[in-house]
Amino acid sequence: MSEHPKPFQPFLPFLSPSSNQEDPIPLLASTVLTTIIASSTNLSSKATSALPRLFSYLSTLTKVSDGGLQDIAVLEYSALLRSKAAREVFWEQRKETVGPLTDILRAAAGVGSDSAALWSGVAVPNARSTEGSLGGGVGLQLLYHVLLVLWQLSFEGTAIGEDFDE
Amino acid sequence: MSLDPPTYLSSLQNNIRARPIPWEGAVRAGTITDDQLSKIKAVDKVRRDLRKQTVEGDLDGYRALFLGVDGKAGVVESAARRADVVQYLLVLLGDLLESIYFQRTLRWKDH
Repeated sequence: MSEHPKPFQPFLPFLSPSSNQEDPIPLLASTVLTTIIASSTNLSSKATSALPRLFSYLSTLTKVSDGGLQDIAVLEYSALLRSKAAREVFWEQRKETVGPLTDILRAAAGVGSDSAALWSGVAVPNARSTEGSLGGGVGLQLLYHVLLVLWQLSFEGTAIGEDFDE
Repeated sequence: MSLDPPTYLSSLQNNIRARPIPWEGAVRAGTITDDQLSKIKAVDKVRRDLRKQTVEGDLDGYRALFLGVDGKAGVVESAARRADVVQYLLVLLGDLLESIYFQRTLRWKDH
């Protein structure tokens, strides 16, 4: 697929924020894009240019209150972040991408902060998620995947180390 | 992805796979062409190994089917306004990708 001159173009319009949260098309398009990008061994400049849109879309999923959707987004991050170029793009967008992940960690740890206040104590009723949960209604599996993504990022330690501590 | 796909995603995909798509109507409406339809039918609802064989035997054709070629739009783009068709095609494409990439990953591990 990635041999096509514009392999990602047809999918990108689907990633625009939809007025209808239940619309499955953006989710399906992001899954297909992730598969294509994650399975190319060398990330081409074509793929790198599609990444910001994809990360932006996935970051909106990490901010919803549905643990099932959050988990899908974080798993897709993880598949994409196997390449160095993708980790660099991800880090450049860190306000958008890493921010919500640390909010999830805060919520799981039950630490108070403005963003975590939304979560802590309020167990979000969630029919889609069946896994066990820790504080703030964060599923164990989601927590594990968030930590996995942050660990993958740590491979770029020299580039991001100091900012990461913050 | 190394782990099992999230339940929410897999049940959504199963649900969409089971939906009937009025393909002939889509052809009449000009959403897809006859040619494109026959390529879709060759891999839709067939055995996994047959599907894989068909796609691998015509990689260029299937790439063109979904993504377009020489300025002609692929089905993902041309069906963009038909939500039911696009959903079905995205799931089908996901399945095709999985069947060819999975194999490639295995080969890669052998080396």
